[in-house]
Amino acid sequence: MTIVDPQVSAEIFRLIAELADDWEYDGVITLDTLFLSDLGLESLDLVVLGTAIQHRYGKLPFSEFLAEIGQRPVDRRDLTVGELASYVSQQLAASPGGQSR
Amino acid sequence: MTVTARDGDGAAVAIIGMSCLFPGAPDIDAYWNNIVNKVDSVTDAPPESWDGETYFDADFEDTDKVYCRRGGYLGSLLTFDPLPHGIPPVSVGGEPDQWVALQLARDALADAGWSELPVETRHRTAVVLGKGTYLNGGNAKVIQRSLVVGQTLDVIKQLHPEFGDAEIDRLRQEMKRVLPGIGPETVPGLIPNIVVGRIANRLDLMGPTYTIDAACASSLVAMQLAMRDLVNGECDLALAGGSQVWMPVPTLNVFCHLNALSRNQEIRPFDKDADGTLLGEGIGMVVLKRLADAEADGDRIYAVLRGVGVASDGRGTSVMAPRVDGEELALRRAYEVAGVAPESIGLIEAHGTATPIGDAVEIEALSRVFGSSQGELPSCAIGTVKSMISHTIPASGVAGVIKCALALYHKVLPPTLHCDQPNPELDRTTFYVNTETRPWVHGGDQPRRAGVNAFGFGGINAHAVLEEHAATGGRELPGHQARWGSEICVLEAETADGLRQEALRLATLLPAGEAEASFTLADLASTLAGQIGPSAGTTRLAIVAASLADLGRKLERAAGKLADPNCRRIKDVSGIYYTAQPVGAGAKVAFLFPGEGAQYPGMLSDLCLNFPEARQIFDRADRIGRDEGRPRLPSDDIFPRPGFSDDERRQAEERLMRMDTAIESVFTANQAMHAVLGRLGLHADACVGHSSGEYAAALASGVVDLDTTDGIRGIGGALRRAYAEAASGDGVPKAALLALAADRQRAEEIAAEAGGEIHLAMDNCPHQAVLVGEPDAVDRARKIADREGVIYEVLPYDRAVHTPLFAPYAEGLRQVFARPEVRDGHTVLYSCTTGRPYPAAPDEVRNLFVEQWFRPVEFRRTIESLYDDGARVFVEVGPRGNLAAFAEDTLRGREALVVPADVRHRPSTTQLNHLVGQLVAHGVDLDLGQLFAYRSVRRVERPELESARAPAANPTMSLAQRWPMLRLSPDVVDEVMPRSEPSGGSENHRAAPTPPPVVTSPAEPAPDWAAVAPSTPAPDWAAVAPPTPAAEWTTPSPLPVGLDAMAAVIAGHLSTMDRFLAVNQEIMQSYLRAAGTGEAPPPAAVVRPVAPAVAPLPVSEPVFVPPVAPTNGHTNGSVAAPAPFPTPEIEAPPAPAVADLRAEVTGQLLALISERTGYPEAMLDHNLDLEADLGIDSIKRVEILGNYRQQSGRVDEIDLELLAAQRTIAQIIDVLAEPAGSPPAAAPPPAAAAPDHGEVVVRRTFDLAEDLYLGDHVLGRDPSAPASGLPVMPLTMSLEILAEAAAGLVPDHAVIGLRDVTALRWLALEKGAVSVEISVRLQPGTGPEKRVAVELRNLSEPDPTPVITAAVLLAPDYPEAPAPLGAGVAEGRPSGLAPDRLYAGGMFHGPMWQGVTAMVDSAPGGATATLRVLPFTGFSRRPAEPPFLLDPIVLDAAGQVIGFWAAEQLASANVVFPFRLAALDVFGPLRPTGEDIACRARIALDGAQLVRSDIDMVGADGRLWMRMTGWEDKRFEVSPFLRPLVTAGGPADLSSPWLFGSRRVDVDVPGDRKFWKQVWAGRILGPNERAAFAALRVPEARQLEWLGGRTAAKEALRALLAAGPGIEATLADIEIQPDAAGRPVVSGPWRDRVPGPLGLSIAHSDGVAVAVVGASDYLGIDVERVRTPGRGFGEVAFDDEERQRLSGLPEEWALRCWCAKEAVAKATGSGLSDGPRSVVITAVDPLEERLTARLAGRLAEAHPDLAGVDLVVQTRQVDDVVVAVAQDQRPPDEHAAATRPEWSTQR
Repeated sequence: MTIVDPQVSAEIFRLIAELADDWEYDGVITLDTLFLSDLGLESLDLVVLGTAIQHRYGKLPFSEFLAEIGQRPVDRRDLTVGELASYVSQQLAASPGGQSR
Repeated sequence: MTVTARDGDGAAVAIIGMSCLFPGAPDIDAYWNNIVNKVDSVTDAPPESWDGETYFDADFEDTDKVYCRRGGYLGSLLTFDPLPHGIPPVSVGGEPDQWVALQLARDALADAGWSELPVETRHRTAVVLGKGTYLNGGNAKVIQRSLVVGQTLDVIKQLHPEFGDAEIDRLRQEMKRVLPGIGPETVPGLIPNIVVGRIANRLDLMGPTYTIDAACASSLVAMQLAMRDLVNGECDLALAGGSQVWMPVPTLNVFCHLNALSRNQEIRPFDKDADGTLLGEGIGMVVLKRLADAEADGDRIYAVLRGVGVASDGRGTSVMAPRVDGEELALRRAYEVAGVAPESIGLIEAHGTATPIGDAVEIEALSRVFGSSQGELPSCAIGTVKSMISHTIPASGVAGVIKCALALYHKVLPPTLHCDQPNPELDRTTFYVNTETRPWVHGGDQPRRAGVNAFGFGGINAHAVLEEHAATGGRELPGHQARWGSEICVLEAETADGLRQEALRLATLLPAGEAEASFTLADLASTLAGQIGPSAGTTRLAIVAASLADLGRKLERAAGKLADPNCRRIKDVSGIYYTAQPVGAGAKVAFLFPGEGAQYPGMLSDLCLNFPEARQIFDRADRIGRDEGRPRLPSDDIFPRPGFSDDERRQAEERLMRMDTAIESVFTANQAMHAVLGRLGLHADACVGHSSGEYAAALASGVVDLDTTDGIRGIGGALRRAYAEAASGDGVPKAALLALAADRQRAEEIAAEAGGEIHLAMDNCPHQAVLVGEPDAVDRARKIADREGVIYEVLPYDRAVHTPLFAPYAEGLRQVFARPEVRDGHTVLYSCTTGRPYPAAPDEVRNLFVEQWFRPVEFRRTIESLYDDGARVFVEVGPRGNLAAFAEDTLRGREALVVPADVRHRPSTTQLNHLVGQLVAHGVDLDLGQLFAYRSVRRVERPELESARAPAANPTMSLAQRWPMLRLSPDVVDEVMPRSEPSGGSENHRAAPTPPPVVTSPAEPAPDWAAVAPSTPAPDWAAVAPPTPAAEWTTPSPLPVGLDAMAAVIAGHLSTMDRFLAVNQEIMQSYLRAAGTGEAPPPAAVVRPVAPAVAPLPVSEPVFVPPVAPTNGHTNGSVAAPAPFPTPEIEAPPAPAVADLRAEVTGQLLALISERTGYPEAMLDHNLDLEADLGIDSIKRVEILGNYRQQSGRVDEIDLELLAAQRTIAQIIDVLAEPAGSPPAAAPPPAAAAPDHGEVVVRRTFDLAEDLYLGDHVLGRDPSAPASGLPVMPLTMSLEILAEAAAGLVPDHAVIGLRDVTALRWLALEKGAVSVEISVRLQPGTGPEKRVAVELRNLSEPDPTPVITAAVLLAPDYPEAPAPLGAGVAEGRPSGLAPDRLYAGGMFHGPMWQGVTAMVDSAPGGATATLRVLPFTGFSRRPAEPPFLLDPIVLDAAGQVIGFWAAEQLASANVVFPFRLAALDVFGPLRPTGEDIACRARIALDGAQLVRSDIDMVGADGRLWMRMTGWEDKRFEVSPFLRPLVTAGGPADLSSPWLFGSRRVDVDVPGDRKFWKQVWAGRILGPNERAAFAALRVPEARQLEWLGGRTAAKEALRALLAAGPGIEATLADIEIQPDAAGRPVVSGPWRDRVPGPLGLSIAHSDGVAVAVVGASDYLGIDVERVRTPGRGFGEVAFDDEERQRLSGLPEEWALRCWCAKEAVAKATGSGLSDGPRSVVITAVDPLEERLTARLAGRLAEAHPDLAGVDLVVQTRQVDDVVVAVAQDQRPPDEHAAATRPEWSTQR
């Protein structure tokens, strides 16, 4: 089961909006929204988003996370907002010191 | 074998035209589309095909049945329009293939470019069609009629010796009646060869025409024979193919006996688990011509058929088993006759039946001819279209040929389905199963070739060899290109508001679905593209749309945004582009070319399918590879053979990562993309390449000329060699690459700290820099990055490029770049090494080409330079889109447009559309027409677009294939069954209502009302019983209570009507019998007074009658009913006295011809040649004329021989109308029984889609949902319908009024359509004024009795108008209703009916108003809608005046509906649109329930135009909660908020409850729920409560959705259905957006309905009216302890406890499964009004999580209603927050 800290997901939604700049997305962005297929982002954007999340929450092992995604079969090489939020939530829960709010 | 391609050309034929009908594919376009898009068209047998109930047996225990339902069925696609072929519709019977084949022959010829063949060609055209001569529907009919009926009767006689001759005769008649007839028209259809005979006959072809049967090989054998005739010069043109358009059950049964059909009901050719085939239906044809002729004539050549080889199995093991030797021989013969080597084949369309033995034998035969793999890559794709459409037996070969011809024409390797793990036998062959649509990249020196297998039962094998037509390769003409996944649609306007209007206008014109449209999205896109001129200060909206519907949605979305004056731009991910500040016009465009790393398997494959110039670049790369003798060609890696596992797919990716492959593949892809952009007219001002992308950039800028095979080869080969040298040398330092999410400075700091051999190799953008160095140093850098929280990625390369380490290896390239000439170029080339334009001196250019390999890539700096130099548009020209992301990151926040031409997550063509969209929105000029250059698109003309919402006329008739069924109608069973027997069997269909199932109190209240209210008396079934037989009409009133005084009158009237109906029917029948042939006189003279008496029925659409018109509902003939008639259908014409012999002759003759041929009379042009044009042969002609002679009574006087010699209708009329010597005997009444004054019955169907005015007359419409509510026919429209019908009887008369109009019931369109029958009878009378009695019945009612009755008055002229009422009727007291508010609140009428422009005066005794004559345009879509005789809009408006008056003057019961009109008088014709009409009404109350008015309508000239006398409205007291149902602008909700977050409806429905029920249901229920509601077998009061509960629940949910996730759902979109346990479950299209549970509970009791919703599953509500419970209630409901707790408490607490139990049980979802003891009340807290309960018994076992928990229930009593609610008592954040985060974040 995916555990998502609602505050984390809210923050990620905010950062996505910031990153999206003047791009719009026809529909509600939910935890099931895919970054590449739905939002039309590129892998570099994920890195930029990851950097922004680190900026907000402190250091997180994003490189491994992204590498894991890169290893997936090509048709599943994408990431949902929920997956990212869950990952961040878990990382924060595991290392309470990492939360530099 | 070394035969060259040209050697055998003399024997080759060209395929120049094609047509087909296969499952899911009505034509070639759809067929090819389905193939390319991997559409599986295998389905269960549709009802049109065969009846699963009767013939399906999954276990095959009954071996006369079929164990497999699935197959490829044509179903509703099997239609035929006989009229264009000159086929009398009644002749369309017998075998369906003869009709479809005729259509396809025409289609195939049309595809080849001929609508009509020249005569010399016609006489030398052959038709050879493969056809199975299995038992078919036609034979079966004969067998059933001749054998089965007789044998069945014998069996019955054995069983019922008491049956006499009369009974047996009756049964015989009935059986023959229900079986399809065998007429003179159908008999020829039973002869197999008629299928080609008809083609030859209709198209006048005189070459050899015949059918052949070679089982599954039929099509290919047919082609072989046709080809032979062509080559031998027997003919010049041939149609060849195969047909199997219906799959008879006996054939399926035989295959089941052979165990050949798949037990799993899946067809999986070449899968290791394939277990059998599936059979299917289809037909296909190709047009063949000698290749040399086709080339000389400039025909479009899809493919060349080089040869067909045929062989039999000889003496195999069994005649049914396939034999390798026979198949092998057919293959060998084919290659021999084709003169080509099997190794040159790139695609095999296998027979591939998916039977284990069939697949194995085929693989073996193929491998014998093609050789084995020998460790090389498999070279030939294999697959079969059977995996998509199943095995169509005689048509299977042509299915494969068409597929391969298109594959060759479009250079596509088509996919095959359902092969998940290939048969291991294939491993040793040269074949690979192709499961994806891939470009057919080909670098060989021979043309692309394909082979098609077809191996038949009985051992007949065939193989066809096809080849692409090389000359066509360069100039592909549009021909059946697969549909694109999306199109770009561009609108242009002067201003943003103009753009918005354009968008809205287009959106409103678009049809709802592709199916309704007469044009495609591509047609529309290309039309729009054609309207875009050069950018000149205009503004543009560009939309990438996947369908017309998608376009509509996006247009509306865009228009919504543009409405905001502050909207500066729209940049929507889904593809909506607009900007108020374009950067494009005049800005410099930079092309960015990626280098290695951008490649991925399958890149640009979609682009290659759609743009030949892209594919040709890859062809060239393969050719170079092949010339170099490389074992792997570039396309082997770029478009790898489909992998069957994740591993295989990963390996394919890894192969592309190798340096040689990587550089070459990206270089090739860049060029391909550049070629496509060039075609679109996009040109760069600057080019830049990233890393090895520099060479593609140099090429594109013209700095070097590498655009030749030699040049490319030089670069590619040199890079490859350099890499090989580098790889083989042992001094190559192993490098590692690390991409850091950091800018250059940070990356350099990390590199410095890491120390050792590590360099900054690429500065891509602020968020990416790449370090390259020896692995240890890179590893140190990685750890530092980790420590610093810098995101990194280790790149999958091991080359030390862009560092000094690479310098020694780059030096080898100097000589490569020494060769090509270096020029100034036409475009500035930037260098990523210097970040500046390349130097001018050629040597320096060459130097940079080499040095860039060991110097860093300064991409970020180069982008900055480009921006500084004025570039504003950056397009990445190559795969994947990385560079665009870099550039975007670099230019973040600055005005620039950065777009990749390809991204990995979209098909490349779709991304191209996004690119084009963004460019044009920014004012960049492109040649948009090039997007359509290779496709068949047509211009959508404006009128077509404007009528796009009108459904296209669909004159085709369905060629139903259903097996004829022998069944008796219930009436006959009743009649014949012995009276003495208990009539159980025949009673069953008398529809005695079955009692509701008694359910032990489930959670859904509807069925359990009886259980909850034990004191309620037995339900009053009579109240809901469907109409009972006539005898019972007289006693109980069938009408809803509440019509009081009216009721008795109406009931009496109904019983009269019922008897009248019966009598009437009898008279009609005897009339018809006596008249012999029935419908004689022309209907035209009857329906249309305005038309001359002889004119044919003025229909503009073809109308025909089925050959075997079912005489009642029990018949299931072989021909389906025709499309609904657009104009009145005349059932029984009268015999009006018509003086003019000519008119009479014409009318009778046309009617007869129409009846006997099925042609609508409108089509029967008098000058048509009966035989040549109408296909009426001499036998039929004599039959018709004989009938006429009989019918007219002119037997003696008519010379049949003379008549039979006449060729046209006009000539026949001339002969007949010429009195032979003496005037004909005055036409006597045709038969004694004919009545003096005929009655005519007119049938009309009205539906929402056609009769648009109905959509503006809807009761109970939910303001948020346009499709909701109950449309009703306005009374005045009914008057018009009656008037039109009556006018038909009396030509040349005007309708001057109506009398005694009584409307007994509403004419509602519950299902969106209603069919009515209007019977019209001329009353006796001699004066000039005619009176016609009319009655309208609603055929949708189970037993139609008249709904409206009236008399219509007609006269040659309008009467003199009397003086109108004065304006003083309303005593000059001004009305308080503001003109602009008239329709805002109190009325439900839409704009078409808003004819009242102002209420002027209003007083107790009258009202005056101003009406306006509104236009009829847009009123109806019916093209043939006759002009109106009355003005129903003005009349309705006059009626509305009474409504407005009632609202103002009446304090109670002020909703009025008209139901009676004593007299309408009309004093003149229709008035011009826009004229103001003064309306003056004298109004009086008549008792408490009626309002009676006399209303005058006065024209602008002051003269009385129309007068209604005795217009009577019935007054309704509408419950406040129902009021929104009769008003348009009222409150949205019917329920009101109540206790504990619930909503409540007090179900108080006075008056016509059935009507209100309909209206109410129409407002709130979705389609599924309507069905559930209709099936509800409970009394009406409970039905209304059920609606109340649903209403409360839906409105509560609507509020919850709006407040929570912000979803605007309509009530119909909130679907509530009970689950298996009876618990209501909510669903809807919005459900995915609301994660987590949605609890819902409904309860009702005696007129009160409540519902509660929430975000938890545990939710239950119950409600009860307080009443004295029956004795024993306490004993049953409670145990001792509970009774203890209740003692001393007020009596109502027992009810509260009961409700609590119910509420808890409902909350569990199970209901009181163990009765009242399932829930035990453990505590009662009267102060807090709370109860505590626990689960017990099995309920506790079923819910362990709740067992033992004290469940709190809140209760209240309000007035006499007790309510209890059980819900989760935890604070909402505990159970909701964790599971539904976006409810709080996604507003």
